[in-house]
Amino acid sequence: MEEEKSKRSRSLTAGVIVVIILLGLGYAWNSRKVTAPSNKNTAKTPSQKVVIGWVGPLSGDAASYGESLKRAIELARKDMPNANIEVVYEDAGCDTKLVVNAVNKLLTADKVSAIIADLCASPMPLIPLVGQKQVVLMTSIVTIQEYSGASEYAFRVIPSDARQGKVLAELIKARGYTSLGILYSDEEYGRGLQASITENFKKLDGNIVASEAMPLESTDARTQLAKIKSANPDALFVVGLPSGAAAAMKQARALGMAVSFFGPEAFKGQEIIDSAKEAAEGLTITSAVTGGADFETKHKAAYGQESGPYAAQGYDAYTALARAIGTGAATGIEIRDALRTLEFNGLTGHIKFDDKGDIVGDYNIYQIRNGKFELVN
Amino acid sequence: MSIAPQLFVNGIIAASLYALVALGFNLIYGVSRFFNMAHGVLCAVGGYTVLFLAKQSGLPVWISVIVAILFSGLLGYLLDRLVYYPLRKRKASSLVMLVASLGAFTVIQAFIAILFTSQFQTLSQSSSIQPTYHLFGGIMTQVQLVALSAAIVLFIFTWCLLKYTKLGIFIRATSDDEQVAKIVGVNTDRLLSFVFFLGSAIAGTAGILVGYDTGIEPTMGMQLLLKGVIAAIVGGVGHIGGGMLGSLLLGLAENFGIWKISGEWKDAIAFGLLILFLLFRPGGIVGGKVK
Repeated sequence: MEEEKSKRSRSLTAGVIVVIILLGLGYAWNSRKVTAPSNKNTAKTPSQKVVIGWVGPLSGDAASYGESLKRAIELARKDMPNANIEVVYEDAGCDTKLVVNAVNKLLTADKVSAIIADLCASPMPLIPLVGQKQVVLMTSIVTIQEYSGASEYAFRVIPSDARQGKVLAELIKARGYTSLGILYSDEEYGRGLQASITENFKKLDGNIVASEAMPLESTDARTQLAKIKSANPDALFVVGLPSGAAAAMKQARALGMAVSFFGPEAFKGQEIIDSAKEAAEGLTITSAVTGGADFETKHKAAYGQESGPYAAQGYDAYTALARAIGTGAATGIEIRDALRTLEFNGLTGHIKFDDKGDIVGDYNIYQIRNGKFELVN
Repeated sequence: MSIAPQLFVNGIIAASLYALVALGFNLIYGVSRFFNMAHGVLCAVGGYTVLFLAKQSGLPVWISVIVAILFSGLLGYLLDRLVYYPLRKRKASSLVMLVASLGAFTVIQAFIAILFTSQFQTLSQSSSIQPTYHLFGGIMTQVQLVALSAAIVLFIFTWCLLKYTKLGIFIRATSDDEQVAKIVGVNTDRLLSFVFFLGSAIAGTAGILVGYDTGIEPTMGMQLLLKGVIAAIVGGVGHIGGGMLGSLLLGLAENFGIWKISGEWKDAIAFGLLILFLLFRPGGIVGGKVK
């Protein structure tokens, strides 16, 4: 009995020692992991290669966007040759999981100093990743408001939806409409624009008479439209996927609503015209400015085709980073600081980042007339 | 202007589409006693067959629609012959059958996405806006009126089939007790295959109507299936009349439910209704007792 007791206490002591050793090892391992990245960022010298990562859709439904942005970046590289800059492209479709995987690969394997994220998925999961590794995040197509000032490393060369909402509100008011209905998709893009338009339209003494949400993937907005119709607005602003918006415009016309339609730049494309057909006639949208005639000519000469939407923004995104690196910046921190003071005339206008990483930016106004988007400004 | 009449009409429109899915589902569940997930994807098959025949190959719409309905039915029949029948022979549990049907669902859905891309597409070819009709003080488009008529006609057809024909009597007998039906000489395997054909053809019809009303995408099946199944359970699973009542209740509840609150609550209301029925009236509106 006595012997058994001491045996038990001996094995208990041994157990405690093992646990302590394991804890110690774990701690050492952990602290090694924490200190590792900071070495990397201070060790870089200007003569080293600076790697820029690009992530976006090169396959799937949105591949045409990705391909067009990649072409624009390659064109900008030709125009501003810099042997020290290397660009690595990663395809991530429109899937947030794949985006995070690709970015992790860029951060750890390619040791990039900056990432251009031209995503059709949300960029917000990337914010903590680039913050941790102290790498600059640049984008030419992400417009959601949450991105503004989300990280000291986040920049963009396309104006925020907060700005688009203001431009749209002014446009709708200038057309003489005083009461507006809103149908928005229930996710960050739709909610952001809904909030920004509501705020700005009210400032202009406009009335938001109805504001209804629908799920992003839904194509049935009948009940929401019935509610909006009963509030009798002069104009209807729709935001969401082109498929949902097209279905909603058809359903609105079927309900006998004679309102004028307004929408955001996401609708600029053939899909909405093909799906909604006659119901889309008269739809007015805002769209960030394009590159102008010179850029088009250059693009056509290089690739034998017209540039896609956002191509000029893609060109400017690379230009901003290349100019920052041209000043001698190599690490993420250095590029971030260089971007803060950078100022230049890009294809899409004057580029100067504010303290949230945003630019002011201009918009074009398009209207669907006879089944085509026409520039109306 | 009061929006109540329009909400009522919207409720009826939604109900007729749910009813078509629930009708086919109930027919199949009644005799096979398993949760056939693949039923949903057959809606998409119907829609995409019309897209292929009428829009891409230029066949007349009425021929395309008939072929698409028959093709959905045929695919349902083949699923039964090639997948469910061998499993049934091996006395597979209904859980195994459910997983097998989920597999069939995924394979067919992926196949559609590969062939036609996963982009949202519309079936209607005319660029003009559909003619509309005033009904009970609300507005309904032509396609929606067709959907409502189709739901009523197909329900009456199925009901008469079950009630007055010899085939219907066999189906009801099998539904009551498959073993006894076998003993008295019903070829239950062939009967089941026929029921799969009929139920799947009705599902295809629902998919075509959705395609003309709003549009089609490969993933449309799951949403339709879930709503159809809720309608079936709320009404009384395996009972075709109950399915109709359940659809009506679901459609109206969804639409009137968001009268005073925001539209994103629609699905929450539908599934809330399901939970309420499962808790307090598991047999559904007509069932009362659980089988």
